Amino acid sequence: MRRTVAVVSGIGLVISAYLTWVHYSGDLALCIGVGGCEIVQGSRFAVAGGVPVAVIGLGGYVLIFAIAVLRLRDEAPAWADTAIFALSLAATLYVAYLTYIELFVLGAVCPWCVGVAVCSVTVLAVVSLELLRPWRT
Amino acid sequence: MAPPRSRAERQRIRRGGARADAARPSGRQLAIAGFVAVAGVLAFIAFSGGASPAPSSSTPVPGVRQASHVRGSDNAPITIEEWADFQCPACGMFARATEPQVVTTYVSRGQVKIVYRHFAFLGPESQWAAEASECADEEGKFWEFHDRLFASQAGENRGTFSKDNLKRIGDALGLSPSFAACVDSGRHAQRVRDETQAGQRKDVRATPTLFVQEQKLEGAATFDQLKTIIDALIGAR
Repeated sequence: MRRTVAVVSGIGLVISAYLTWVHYSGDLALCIGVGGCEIVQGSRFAVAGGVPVAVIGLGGYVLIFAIAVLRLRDEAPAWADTAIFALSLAATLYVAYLTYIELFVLGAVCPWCVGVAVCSVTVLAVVSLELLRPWRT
Repeated sequence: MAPPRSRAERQRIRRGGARADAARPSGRQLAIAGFVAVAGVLAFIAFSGGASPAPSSSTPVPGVRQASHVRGSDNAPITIEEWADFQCPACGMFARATEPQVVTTYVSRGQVKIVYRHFAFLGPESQWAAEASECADEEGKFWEFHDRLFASQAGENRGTFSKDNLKRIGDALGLSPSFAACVDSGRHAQRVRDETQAGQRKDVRATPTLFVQEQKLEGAATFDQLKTIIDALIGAR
């Protein structure tokens, strides 16, 4: 389970790094007639509190991935479980809000953003299953 | 009792047994962490205002010719040909951020002219918006209409550039009643389609695509990118 969390959060990290690169790359600010990433990234919702949403996602996934890797060690500290649960819950709530904006405000869905959302939900689900299930004997 | 047979089994026992009992967070700890996470996200969304404020409107670009789809003097030695779609957000970024700087720095001095070409490929509202811009051009207000459309973008094919809204934009710009009739008539439809096809023949695949003289740039070029190219062309003359 911990390995699954590490792999999925690694995928989330790669996608958010790509979206951050797209955000800062003027060359990629173009419309190719497929997908909704250009609408989502070009919208006013792409920046929150002065920080690009892509950067917020990257920062979150750097933390989640680092903790997920830490938890692979046998002597992982107890706070790592609590931290990854809180971070993945926060990530899931925030991507839920962003998905709502995509669907009901912008009317466009960016497949890469959906990828990040799926990773967030998966990490939360697996961590929750791991931490909340009854103890094995 | 026999020792565990495999490494995986030893790990499973370590993680699921002794370590877990001692180190796993309690339900109370998880509840507190969950509460902090929820409160943090809600506070961030509220604090950030949900989104950055939308730009209020485009800044009218001074010193440009009203006729046709050329911004600047016909005699300007350098031509930037822009292929764009009124629904394309990247075209909107270019029109709002880069183009005014190019106009101020080069077009107003007669060094550069900008030619707009339709590449209406993002759906029916792209086509209608392009046709309406031709209707505005009949009254010499292509560029005002162009600026207003790029300032009004709000998603693709969601009614922003419906024919009714396009007429409202025309009204706001002071266009005559014949503008609305022109929008309904579709008399510029073929011209827009022809120009889009001409773009495809010119290997335009995305918008905005710029040709600075012969140099092709795909995407919303920044002013610095264009400045480098334009200064080199001016220096070579």
